[in-house]
Amino acid sequence: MRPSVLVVGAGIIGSAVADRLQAAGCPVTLFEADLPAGGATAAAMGHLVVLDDSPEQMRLSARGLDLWRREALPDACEREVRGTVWVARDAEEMDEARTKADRYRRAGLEAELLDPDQLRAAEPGLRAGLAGGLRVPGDQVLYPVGGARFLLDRALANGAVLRRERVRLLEPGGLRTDSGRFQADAVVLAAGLGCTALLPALAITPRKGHLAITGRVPGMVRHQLIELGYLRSAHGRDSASVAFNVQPRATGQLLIGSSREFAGLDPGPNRELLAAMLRTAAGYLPGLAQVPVLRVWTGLRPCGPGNLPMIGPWPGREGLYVAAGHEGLGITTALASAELAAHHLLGGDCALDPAPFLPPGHV
Amino acid sequence: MAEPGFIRADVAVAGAGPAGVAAAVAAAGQGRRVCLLDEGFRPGGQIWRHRPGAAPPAARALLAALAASGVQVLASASVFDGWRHDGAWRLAAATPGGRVEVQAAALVLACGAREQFAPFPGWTLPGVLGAGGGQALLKEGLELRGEPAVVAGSGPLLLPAAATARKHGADLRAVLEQAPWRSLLAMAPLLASRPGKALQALGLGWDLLGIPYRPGWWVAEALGSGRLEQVRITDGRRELLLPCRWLFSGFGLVPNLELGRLLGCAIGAGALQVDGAQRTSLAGIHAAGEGCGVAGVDAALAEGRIAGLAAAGAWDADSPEARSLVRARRRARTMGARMEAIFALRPELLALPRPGTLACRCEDVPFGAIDPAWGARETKLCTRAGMGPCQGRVCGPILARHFGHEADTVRTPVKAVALEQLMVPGNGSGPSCPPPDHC
Amino acid sequence: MSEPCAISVDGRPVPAAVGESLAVALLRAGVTAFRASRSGQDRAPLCAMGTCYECLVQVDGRQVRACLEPVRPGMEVRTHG
Repeated sequence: MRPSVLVVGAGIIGSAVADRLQAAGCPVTLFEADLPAGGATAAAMGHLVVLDDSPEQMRLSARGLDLWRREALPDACEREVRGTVWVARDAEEMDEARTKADRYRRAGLEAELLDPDQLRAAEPGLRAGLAGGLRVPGDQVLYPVGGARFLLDRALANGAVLRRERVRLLEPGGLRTDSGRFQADAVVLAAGLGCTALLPALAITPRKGHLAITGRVPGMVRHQLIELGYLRSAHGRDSASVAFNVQPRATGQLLIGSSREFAGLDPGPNRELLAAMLRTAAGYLPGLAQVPVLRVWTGLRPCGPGNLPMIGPWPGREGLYVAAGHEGLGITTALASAELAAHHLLGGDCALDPAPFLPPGHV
Repeated sequence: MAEPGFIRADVAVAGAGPAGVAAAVAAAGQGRRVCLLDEGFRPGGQIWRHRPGAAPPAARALLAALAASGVQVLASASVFDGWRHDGAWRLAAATPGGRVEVQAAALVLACGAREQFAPFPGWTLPGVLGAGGGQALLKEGLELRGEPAVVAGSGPLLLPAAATARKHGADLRAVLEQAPWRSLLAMAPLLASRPGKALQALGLGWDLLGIPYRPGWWVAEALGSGRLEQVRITDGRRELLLPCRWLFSGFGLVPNLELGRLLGCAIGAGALQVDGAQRTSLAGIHAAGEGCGVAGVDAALAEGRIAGLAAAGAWDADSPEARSLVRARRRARTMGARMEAIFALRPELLALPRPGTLACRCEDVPFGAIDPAWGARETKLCTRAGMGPCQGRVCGPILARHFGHEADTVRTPVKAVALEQLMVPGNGSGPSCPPPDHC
Repeated sequence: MSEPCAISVDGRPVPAAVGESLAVALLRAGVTAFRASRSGQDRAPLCAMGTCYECLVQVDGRQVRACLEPVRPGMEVRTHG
């Protein structure tokens, strides 16, 4: 008899967890206080990318990408196999690119170093004078809301129940909403920024990012382009930072990021940081200066205390599991996170070692 | 990249239609430094669109006053951002020469209105234009060369559009007003009390002699391959097919509230809320004209002058001029409100779109793709409706009428502008943040 | 009245008047497809006031709204046609 499960949060993580558990035979009820996929998921870039800030992150993101690859996704997910090109400004970054290439290859991933001429051929829009790059052809692009809704719809089609209401309290054996008590064998807290209100010891901090989408400029950019310094921006915790990150969409529009700052919950744009982000982007792609920007928005990445998401049982609370703190890797790792969560709830083999992702407090 | 242009003024006026020009002239007349910005390439806004050197008679005096006033006029300037800085207001505009910022203690928002569109099958065919849109192009020199044309939709703007079309060579086949006869009869007492307007209406009637004017009729479908060739018109019972190469179709006006929303001005009943001196809910910001509710050029002129005087610190409600302006405003606004009621859109129009008819033209989202149970946000996330370059200006009112969607929060840029216009920080415009770690 | 000039539209010369609306010049020259929509439909001016973005064309390599663009002698215009 499979455990019954209550999942809190129908963003991409909650939807992936609900989908996975329901498919495994667990009766799942999913709670969403606002709009399914309407939080950080809606603001995300949807870059399915292997990142190597740490070996664990690399394994998690590679597994996540692999699982996305295996899904036959409908058109609404707008999935494309674009590949990523990491761009090196100078010799030092080119060395980083070489180290990165080694790491990727040892992990069984295709990675191709590009000298300046090859970089130009791969991406003619990039400015002259760059030192080269690293092409990772396996990376993909996905419309995050499309992906999340696909997983949610599949869970619902398999019998999961979605309740559009706010969870007020977690308690032993279940939770409470304004409608009353719900009881189950397990609760999975996947509410992003909403986690802390329900579990104060699970500190999820909003890390604001800006994105800008342009009008149509088909052919200007072919791969998702990121600068090699991106991980420094993502890893560091201090002041605001920007890092070049541009994604071409099937419509011919470009999605431009990225920025990071801790600015509380204020969704308003930070004009100075936005300007820095756009200057950076135009610095790599000079043609961008003339391209119209249609819209700018911000998103709040749910940031946990460490650099890895927390997935697993919460120490000291029987039946309570968390899947949270994904920062900028929620879309990439959603399916791998669901796989880890299912492992904790149901046992059995797991492609990943779950230990590095356990919430703090485990021995 | 060049340093952005920076202009310091006492009063910045956004929009150079009748309201904005009146405000700028009024403030300059009080000795203030005024900067007037408009997206178009010469002042006049929509109702006073003209070819170079051919300003309409009603506009000439005011436009001449503007030229002589010392107001700094920035044409082809798209205001895309606004914020508070150091106790003053800042506007950022995209111009052909690059980004320009204007700092002023007082702002006047005179952003006017845009045409409201009601979709029907075939409304995206080349040859289907707005009524105001078509009229503007005709005034700017569009020639119709005897091709069959139809003017349709709703509102007082249809008749001038029809007259202009005829004057510029259209073979005008019909003028269709969706409001029924009995609604239009309510205009009679309004015209009776306003002889000037009555004369105008008579004049229009004369211009249109011989043209079938059909209240209670509307366009059900536009047909053609690659461009407009025919329209199917109906009164709900009968149907006719008319040859048609030009369809000028508009359904009244929608105020342009984006800049006001961005700045944070209070909005109610679809308009910027203002007091007797045209002050909005934000200190230092005034508004005039259609943004305060669609009411036509007379309201715009009176309110523009009031707003300009108030922005210049020279509004004295007890002065004879003030009393006269307030009277003019009241009469124009009363007329405007009555017109809104007369020309309310009939429910049959809501049933015209088929599942394949586009609701959002920028993103090609058909009505059939929108689940009526969705709210505005869910529709955007699932279909991208409203996420194209028009930023929801065309489809927003359509989605509001068909699905009850509320207007969204507005973020910078409120107009699509070249990326380089946003690359400059706009000094001190955000929460203070240390220089970013980069490059 | 403004002086006549010539502009180039999709490689062919088109008469126009200096300072007039590019949208008017293009419509007068018989252009029906200013731009292509997402699904490939021909689109032409709708609002004529810079709001609807249906009249987008390329002028000297920049994407502009034809209804807000004043004609300059020798401008090179590319439409979808």
